[in-house]
Amino acid sequence: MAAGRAGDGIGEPAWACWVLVFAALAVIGVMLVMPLIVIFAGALAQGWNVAAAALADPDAQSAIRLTLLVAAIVVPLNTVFGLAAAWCLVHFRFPGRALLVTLIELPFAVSPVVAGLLYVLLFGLQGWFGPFLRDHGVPVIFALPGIVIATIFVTLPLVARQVMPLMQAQGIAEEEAALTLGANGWQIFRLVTLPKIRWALLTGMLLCNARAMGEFGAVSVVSGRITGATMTMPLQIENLYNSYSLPAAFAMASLLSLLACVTIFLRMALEWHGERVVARGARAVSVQR
Amino acid sequence: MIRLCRLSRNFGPTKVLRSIDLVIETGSFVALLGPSGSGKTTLLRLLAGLDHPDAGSIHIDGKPADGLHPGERSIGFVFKSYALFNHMTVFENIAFGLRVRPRAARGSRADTRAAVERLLSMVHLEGLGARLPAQLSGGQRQRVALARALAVEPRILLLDEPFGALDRQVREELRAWLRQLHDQLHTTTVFVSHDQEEALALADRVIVLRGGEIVADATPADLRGVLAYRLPLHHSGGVTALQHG
Repeated sequence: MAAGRAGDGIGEPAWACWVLVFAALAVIGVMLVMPLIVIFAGALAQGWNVAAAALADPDAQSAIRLTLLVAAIVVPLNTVFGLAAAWCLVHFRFPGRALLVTLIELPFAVSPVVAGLLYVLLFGLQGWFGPFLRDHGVPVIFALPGIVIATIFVTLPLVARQVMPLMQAQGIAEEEAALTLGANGWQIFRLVTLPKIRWALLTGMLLCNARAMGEFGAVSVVSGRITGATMTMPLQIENLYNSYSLPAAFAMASLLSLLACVTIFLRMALEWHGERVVARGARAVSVQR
Repeated sequence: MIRLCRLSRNFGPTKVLRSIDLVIETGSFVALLGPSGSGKTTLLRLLAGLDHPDAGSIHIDGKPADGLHPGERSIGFVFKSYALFNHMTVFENIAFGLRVRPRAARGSRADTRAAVERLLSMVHLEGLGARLPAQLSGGQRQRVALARALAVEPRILLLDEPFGALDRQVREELRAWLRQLHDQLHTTTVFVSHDQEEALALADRVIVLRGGEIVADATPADLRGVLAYRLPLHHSGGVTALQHG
């Protein structure tokens, strides 16, 4: 699209446009596309069968199951949390509101490893809540709950950050209108707010999903890396890599990349669809006038 | 009858409404006139229950309105920018208030359809039920907003600068039509305006607000006389603000 518009408008020569486009594509190619190709090539270096066998390994299967399970728990929770936070921030004025906006972004600022350590200090056996949790038979650290909590922390801002600016920009006039028409809170959310933000919400959920599946740092601290039990896909990849099982590591990495690609393509499809809806609306308006 | 007693509202240190006392008779057509920042929209929102007073009370038909949810006040509200549900068709917009009713109070699907069709013809939008708000002109959107507010059969109709965003010709058409609608439906109608001409042309009673206080309350005829001879608002800069605001 950029190339199609080369040279019009601001008046720079066409060749400058082409150089810039080429440079951008070159960077993307070398930095993003090539590594992806290398991963798939590495996975298939010793043939399909080796890659398939590596993925059929019970430990690999366990890692894949765990990763999908964690994502399946984290994405809904963060969706609910993100929506609740955005709703509060847009609809209510309360003391500490600005602080909450800042705090939501904290996970982006804190290193995931530090976040993981923090939860070990809180929930580990030597931690604040550790003895209590042990006495009640609820393992958190070195178990699924710890992995889920760490992943929630890391992915916390993703849904809220997508939804909040949109809700803020759209204001609450439509919600107020629904209120005067007798709708209750749930009806307002379901019939008025949700349809307005659905594309942003879906985008946030997809990003959250991608990050939840790929998280390494925080999870590696809290999981304890028990093979076949608390190894997620990223942890398993590193493990295989360090033990020189390169084809197996690349096979697992390919699968994880594929999952990420599916997420990205879904997002692209959604955006494309969203733009089409907007364009249709705009066309309809221009026809009217 | 709506009775406001010593009604005050502050936004932080700003006193937006200062101890307003006002009685609005059932069936009357009242204009709240004033420059921006005079508190007229705040007053309307307090009536609707979209905002809450810091002091004073509102009684609607003798009953205190404090605890009443906006949906329980039997009001219809038309917003400044219409606030139509942009993802719903015109039909769905108008049907909204009927469809969100509790199951026991909700009519059948056919009832809803009939009611919406009736409203569509009342606001002269027959056949446009399937359009989206984005596919309508400003005047048409305004009428959808009105039909949506009227669908729940409110006894009180509140309009916030209903013609503000429309061009002159459309505005004058809609004015006459709104007046007609009011007379036909016997609602109590309160509308906010910063356009003096509009308020005088449309209402039975014009209440002029300035700085959160009522500075004039009269029939259009009386107010015209006052404005022509004494220009009492002029000293406070009101008239200029009203005419050009």
